Amino acid sequence: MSEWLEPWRPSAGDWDRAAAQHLWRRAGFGARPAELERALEEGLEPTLARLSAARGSPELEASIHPLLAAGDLELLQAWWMALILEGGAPLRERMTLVWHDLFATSNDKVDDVRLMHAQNELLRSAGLGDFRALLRSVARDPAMLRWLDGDTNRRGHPNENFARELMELFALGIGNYEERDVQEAARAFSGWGTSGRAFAFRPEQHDADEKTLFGRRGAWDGDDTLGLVLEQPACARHVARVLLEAFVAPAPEEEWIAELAGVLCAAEWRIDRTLEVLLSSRLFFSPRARRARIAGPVELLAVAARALDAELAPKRAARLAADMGQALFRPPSVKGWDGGRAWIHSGSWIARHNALVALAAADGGRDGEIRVELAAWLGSGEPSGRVVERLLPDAASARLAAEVSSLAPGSNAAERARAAVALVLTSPEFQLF
Amino acid sequence: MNRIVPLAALALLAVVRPWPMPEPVAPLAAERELASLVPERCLVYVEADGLRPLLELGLDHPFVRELLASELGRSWTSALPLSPADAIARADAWLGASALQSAADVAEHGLALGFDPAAKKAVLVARGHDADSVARALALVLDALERQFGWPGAFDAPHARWSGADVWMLGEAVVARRDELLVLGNERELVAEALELAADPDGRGLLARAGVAEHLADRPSGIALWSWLELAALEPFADAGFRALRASNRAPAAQAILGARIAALVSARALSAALELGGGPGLALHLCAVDAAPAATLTPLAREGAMPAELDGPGLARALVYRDWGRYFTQRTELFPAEVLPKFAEAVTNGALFFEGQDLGEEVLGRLSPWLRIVSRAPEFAADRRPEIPLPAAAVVAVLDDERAGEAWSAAFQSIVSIVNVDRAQKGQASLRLHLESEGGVEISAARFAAPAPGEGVDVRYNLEPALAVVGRHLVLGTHASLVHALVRELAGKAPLAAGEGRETLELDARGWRELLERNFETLVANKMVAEGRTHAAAEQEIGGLRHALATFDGARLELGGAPDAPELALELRLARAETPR
Repeated sequence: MSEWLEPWRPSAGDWDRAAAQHLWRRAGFGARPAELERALEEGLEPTLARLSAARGSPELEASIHPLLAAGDLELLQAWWMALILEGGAPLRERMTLVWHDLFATSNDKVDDVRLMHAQNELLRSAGLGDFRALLRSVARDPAMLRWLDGDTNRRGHPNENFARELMELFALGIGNYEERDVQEAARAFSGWGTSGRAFAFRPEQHDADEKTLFGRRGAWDGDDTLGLVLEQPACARHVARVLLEAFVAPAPEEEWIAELAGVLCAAEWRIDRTLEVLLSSRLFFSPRARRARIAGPVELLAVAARALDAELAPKRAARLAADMGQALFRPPSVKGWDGGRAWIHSGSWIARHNALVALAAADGGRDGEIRVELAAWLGSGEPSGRVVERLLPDAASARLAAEVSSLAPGSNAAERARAAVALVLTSPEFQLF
Repeated sequence: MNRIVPLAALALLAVVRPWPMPEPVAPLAAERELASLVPERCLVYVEADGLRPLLELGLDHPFVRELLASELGRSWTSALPLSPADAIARADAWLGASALQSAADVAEHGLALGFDPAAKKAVLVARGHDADSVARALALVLDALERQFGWPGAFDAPHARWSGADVWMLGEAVVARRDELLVLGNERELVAEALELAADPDGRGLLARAGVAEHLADRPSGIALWSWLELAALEPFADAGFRALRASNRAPAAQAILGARIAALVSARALSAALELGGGPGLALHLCAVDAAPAATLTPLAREGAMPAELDGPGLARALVYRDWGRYFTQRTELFPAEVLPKFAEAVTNGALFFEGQDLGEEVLGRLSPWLRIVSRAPEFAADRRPEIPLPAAAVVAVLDDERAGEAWSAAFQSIVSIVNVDRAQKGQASLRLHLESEGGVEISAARFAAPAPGEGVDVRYNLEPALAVVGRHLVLGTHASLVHALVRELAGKAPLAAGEGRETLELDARGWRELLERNFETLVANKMVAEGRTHAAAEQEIGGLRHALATFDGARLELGGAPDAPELALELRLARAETPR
């Protein structure tokens, strides 16, 4: 193992507020103040174990079931947002969002909230397990089959949509397959479709003739094709790249990718064991990884709300995230969200600004859907200084600190606190995770 | 010398022209309405009369007893930090005398509140039993305030004397007493104006506003509360929703939902409201519009037409309404603003498509009597398609001028289902299956979704099973086939009725709504958790509050009547008796 992935052994003082905050932001959706204090007290390993908790509140998890019959996507979006905001199983929810971005499926075409929920549960339940099993399940997922036209993939008239995205986006990446592989894989998946809300294989529509995939000839079917894809060396590298982009930095170095792909294979493709190595590595805590990503809307809202110890109505949160360009269950294309700098453009910046200001402005019951008490959150002392310390323990620029400390000295403490929180939340520094 | 001259001048003036002494103020005439003591600038006025029995008997008053025994009363009192009896005892202790008796003395001949929205200030006028008892009650309150806030002697003497009244001030708050009259307000000018009106035997106050005196004189006996609202004058101070409501007369959607009478009522110049405490557990509200300008051709009895026959008991809700759909179309250019006319044109074109090329206004809707019955009941679902979220079904029953016109409606129903299916198929959605069913020889066109595969779950769309039937001259259109079947059975052999007096009614049965709530309780709790982020316990408590509120009432009845330019609304709420002591 390269030195990058060796375990980080923080010396005295290295495991500080900034490091704990970094771990909570990346492996989950930020920490509430009490969670951060506990992390500082307990250290890295117990915190990582806490982030890897398997379940949140069973009542909240189950609450979606009576609502699915309503067929209301907003409720499904709100439910997932509620699980994220609750923070009961931070890494699991973080990984579910990563897979939702990779296996991007939109209800705009699927048009069935129950199927979207079932796919989401699949990503949640299998997302930290064996990637090979996850990929095989996704290939049979009814929402995915509807999304990528499985029902119209018939012998003699292959539909290449799923086969193409499987290779280009889900498992291999461009340059690691040939056009002929896509055409042959589409034939292999013919007959895979849905019956009602269930996966169905229709033998009469399946092309059982021989195909050539990755240079190998045989009467391959869909399962065989997935096996062949998973055997490609590019597959582990592709998954490693996805994990590094999500947890470390947007443009990971080839050396990191190769090393992490090795870890993935050694861990028998288990995502949880791979992440255990990554999230406790020197690379993860290195300056290269800190504040290297522009926060996406969902994580930005959740991290801000949790950092302020605020209670944000999940439906409102899901709407705000949609306004900012990330409507859950409605990714813009099969490529998912572009992310990175694409999160920031004139329209979304205003939405981000307004949403974050709304969090600060809700202080003291001013907004029925956001409960936040800045006085209690800040404790005693001059609010403006403490706001910077709480929200940006390591990254406040001198400019930001000066602006916060110069806030309307004549105004009362509560007004200064609201203004300081709004200023820090909307600063570029806060939005770099 | 310089000092002596002005003093001498003052002394001379005192001799030649004495200081003006306050003129004696005539006692308040017994017949003076309290509204005449409230300044005309108050656009909201509420008065209460006949309070003495209520205040003297307190918790022993029959209405109070009934109210406290009702679910509503129990709900209120259980949420209070003190029981009503304890609250009264505490008030007695604070005052050092019976609080209710003091209040009864002060409000013996009524209590009135005026609100000026421009200044956002209010004035309260009370006329007591006699000057001594009112003075005693006021002294008790002022003494109690002195004790509570540690201001000994602060209110021993009046701070001023205005229009023959003793006045005490605390910041902007003012209390004044003149004989048996007590005036309280949060603006000095408003209180001063009320006292001037009281001092002027010809003072008209709010009675100077057109219509107030007449409606006051007409108020029924046994009134607990009477109110006057200057709706038109309130518009500048109200929000956009209020202004939109005021524009109901010219809004097709408002006309369709509210009807011509309510549209006229909310857009009238002013409104009087009377709230009466019933003999039994219940409340009655009576609204009268003043200077309404209704859409005359849409108000009841503007066009002849029969009423559908009576239907069985309310279910969830039952209504008899007057909606002249035909005239909405044929007179649309006179009734509605130009910007909505394109929508009408679109509807006419689509109507012709479904109704064999006939004109929607004249030849289709114009052949329906404007009298409609609307019913809402819990429908019966087939075992394999009982929705996980059951919703109430609704149906409308109309009268055709000719039984044969029903054929066109059946054909249109089937065409619409087909078009809907085409649209759904384009979106990859399940189609509605058309069925022709029979009930006692009457043909029913119904549309249903295919039953879901076992284990797939029954979505909310299974609440929709639209159906249409023609029973003699009755046309029945419902959201659920089982309700249409039931109505066909009820209408069999019945003929339409003559229109009668033109009253419109709505009845609600709270028991049915309670059952519906119980069936959807867990769904509502889950919705609260997911949408608002409540914990399960908190969500259960909040939805439990709704359950409690519904348990408060047995039902309600709303009746609309009155002249076209003075529509009236009467609402009766029946409180539910608590079944078990807590």
